[in-house]
Amino acid sequence: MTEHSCARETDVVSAVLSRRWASANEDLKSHAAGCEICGDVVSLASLLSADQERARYEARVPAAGQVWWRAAVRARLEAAHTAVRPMTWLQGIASACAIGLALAVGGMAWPSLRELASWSVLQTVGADTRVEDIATLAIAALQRSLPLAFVVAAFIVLAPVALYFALTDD
Amino acid sequence: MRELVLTDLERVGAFDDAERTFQMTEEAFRVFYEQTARPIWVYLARSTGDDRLADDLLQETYYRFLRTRTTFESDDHRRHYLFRIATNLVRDQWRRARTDAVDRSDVSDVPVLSEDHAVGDRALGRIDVARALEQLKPRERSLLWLAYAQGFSHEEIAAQLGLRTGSLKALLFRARRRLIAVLGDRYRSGGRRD
Repeated sequence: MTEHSCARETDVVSAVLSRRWASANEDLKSHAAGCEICGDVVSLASLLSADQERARYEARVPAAGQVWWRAAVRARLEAAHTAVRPMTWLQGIASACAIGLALAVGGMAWPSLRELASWSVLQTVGADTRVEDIATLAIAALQRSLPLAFVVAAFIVLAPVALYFALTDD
Repeated sequence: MRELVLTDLERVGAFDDAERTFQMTEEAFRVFYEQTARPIWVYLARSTGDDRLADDLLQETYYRFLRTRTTFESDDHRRHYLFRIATNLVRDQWRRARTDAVDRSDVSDVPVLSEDHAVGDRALGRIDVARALEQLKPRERSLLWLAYAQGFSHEEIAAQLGLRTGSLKALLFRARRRLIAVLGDRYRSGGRRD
């Protein structure tokens, strides 16, 4: 079975990263010379720590004040979003209630409206009117109400979409 | 959709609110930032292989750090926590990029840096570690950096990456092998060689 680590790896890394490898005790150095794992660790730790030193020197990081200010503004913005979220939900629920109420009222009033419409037709055409005349009148009425039907259909389709966008605002 | 924005006045007010919202004062943050920003940036840059992304992740790392409710026992604990946040952010980046990632699981497929590059680098007196790390998997970059540039213990790295220490040792071993394969024998120094 392959050994993946060595018990002295930590000592080796510590010596290299604290720049004490050259002056490390001979026992540790001779161990690293004979141990494949520690030999690799010395090479890589020297390489990566040197690269880190160079990159740290060359890195262009923003000023602390700038990072703090951006964080402060973002925190305030998130707090504002959190405060607005219940209002958005409330608006959505109110809209859904209003639509439901309108549909319920419409459903309850529908039989009365139908009776009223039948009575109006009878009053308009009279009891002795022929069937052909009634059909012509009905088609004309249907044609007149077609735009209204389209508007109602569009409302039924678009209302949930509008509700969705209202709720996903945050 | 409506977009919530702050007025200039609110932005100024945000500055006053910050010390109540964040887990340290601005003055303490300045000191901590001066000590940690560069190592964190280099870690992010080497782990992601993208300096501009490292800039964004640096800001995000400190923002999450400032918002945390964790109580720190020491400066080391605070520093380790910062690296943990950075590691999580890097891991999120891997997950996002995973669909585009090339499978580099086979050591034999790892391209060794060309002799031309090596000669140029040696002429400049340095090895382009960043380019070598780019040949490795993102997790291997993080492992190697935390272990051999930051000097974190196996237990600390395992905790940061959510791994068992035993698994971490095996992963670290493979990562070492892969980086050495990328660098080639030219850069090896010390230790027994077969």
